[in-house]
Amino acid sequence: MSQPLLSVQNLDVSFTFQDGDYAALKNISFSVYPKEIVGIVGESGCGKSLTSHAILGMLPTNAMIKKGSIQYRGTDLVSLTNEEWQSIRGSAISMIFQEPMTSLNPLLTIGRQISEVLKKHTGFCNKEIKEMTIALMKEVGLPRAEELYRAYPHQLSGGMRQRVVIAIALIGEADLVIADEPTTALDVTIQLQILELFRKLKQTRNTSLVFISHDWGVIRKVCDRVIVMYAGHIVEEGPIEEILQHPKHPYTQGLIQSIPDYKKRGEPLHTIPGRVPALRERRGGCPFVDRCSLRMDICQTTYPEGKKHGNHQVKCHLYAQEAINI
Amino acid sequence: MKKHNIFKSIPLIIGVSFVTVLTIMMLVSLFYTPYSPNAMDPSDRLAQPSFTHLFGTDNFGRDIFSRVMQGSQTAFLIGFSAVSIGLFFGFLIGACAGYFGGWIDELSMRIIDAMMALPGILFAIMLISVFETGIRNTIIALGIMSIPSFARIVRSGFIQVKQFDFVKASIAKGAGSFRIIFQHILPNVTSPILVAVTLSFSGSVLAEAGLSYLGLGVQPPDPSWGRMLKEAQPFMSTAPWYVILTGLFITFMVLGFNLLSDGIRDLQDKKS
Repeated sequence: MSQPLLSVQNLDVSFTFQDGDYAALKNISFSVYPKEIVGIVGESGCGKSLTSHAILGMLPTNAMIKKGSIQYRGTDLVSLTNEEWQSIRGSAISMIFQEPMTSLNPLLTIGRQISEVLKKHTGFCNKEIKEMTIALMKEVGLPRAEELYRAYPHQLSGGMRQRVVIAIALIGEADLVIADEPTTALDVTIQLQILELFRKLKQTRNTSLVFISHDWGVIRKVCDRVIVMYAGHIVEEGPIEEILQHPKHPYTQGLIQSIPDYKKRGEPLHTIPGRVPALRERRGGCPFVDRCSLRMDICQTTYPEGKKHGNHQVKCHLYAQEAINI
Repeated sequence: MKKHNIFKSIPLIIGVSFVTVLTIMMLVSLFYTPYSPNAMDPSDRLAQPSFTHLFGTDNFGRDIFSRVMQGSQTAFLIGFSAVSIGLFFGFLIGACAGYFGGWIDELSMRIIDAMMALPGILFAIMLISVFETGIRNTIIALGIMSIPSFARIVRSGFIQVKQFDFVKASIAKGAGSFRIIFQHILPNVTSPILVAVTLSFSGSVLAEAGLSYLGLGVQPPDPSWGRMLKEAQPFMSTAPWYVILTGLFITFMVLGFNLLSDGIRDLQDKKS
């Protein structure tokens, strides 16, 4: 495979509270290759959004990168200064937010909010910027682009706003876009349209996408590869179909079993008992141990090593033996 | 926002009409007053209101209406300049404190607290007695007096707007602090600032009247409503119209701007 666009290595992020530091992300390593859509799934509080914010250098003030590196095209992002970050954000790496209703400034026109990125990062004149903005608005499927250029966010529907947010993420020609649950706030028909737009944009603009979601249906529609996160750890990683067909980690298995399916009609929906341990409750050992139906003694004390099965990687003691056999 | 909302707010209507009438009066007085405001006529002292002297004359035989008109210039000048000073520094302090937070916030808010601990009018009196009386020092003193309220309002607006998603989104666009403060947050905090501006305007007019009444504000020959009140005091029983009419104009001005700010706040509440 070619060089990765983004490579996160052994990333640890901690929150500092008055009573001490608590690790929120532990040993996160993954890569995103050019023209690839990588999904990150997991329950709320698993560190999906924190990971994405770390990639953009937008961690909350009480969170800190303890160790590890985030490399974008070979440059380490962790050590960047504020000014260097500003030149990366929007033009090299950009982000799509979850709520299209609140992620647009209600008092600025659509055109101005999209073109702001070009004004910041390029030297084009105003006329060129406007033309490029309108062209992109058409590309992301906004009808009557010239008219909407002067419209305000409240005049647009949710789906249209999300297209505007996508246009903002794309206009700086970023080759890595991080989408933090971009379709969660939309209804299903619009969701489908937006997902198709993502697939199309990957083809036409060569953009790589990190797609954060807790919806397997959405992930399956757009992603090439998927990373499953649990309590700040990556527990499983692999090609999407492989994971859906043969999930290895008990957590992934539980998640996939709990997808509603018409074949399971009449049966009670599968759930994983318990909840994600809060930051302060996390101890050594496997983070999933309290909720796992297949737990062993070793799970209480030792954190499992990552085992590779081809391009499918899993961190679980169940597979320790098997991996050696491979 | 729908148009009919604006006309439904009674305080706003009254406030706007008071302020409009006073503004027109002030503008007219720049070119025309019925009599020269400082022309004395010893033969016609303390005349009752009549068609020749609409508001009567004072103890030197000067036309009170002309002096009231002229005095509105001072009131507007002081209100406008004091608010500008207060808004400029208050915005700067409040925006930095609210946006950056941390020690900047802590430090500037403690300074603001210290300023607020002194009663405003005493603080102004202190400043004026250390330097000297006159319009300029009155403006500076009243301007400094209004910094804390602006700083607090701007700060709380910034803290509130700062955590909205679109601010995060603009950070993700690569925007710097300057752009975020002025392009993204400022437009969203204009309405509370507008309320504070009108309120602080009337506060400054009232404070100026108070200072001038004490003889610490505007000095002769610059006309001032506050000083006119002081001059009218000895003749309260013989020429009550002098003190009543002058006082009425101070009331109109203060009430007008207060109602205006109430009206703006009403509109804002309806919107949200």
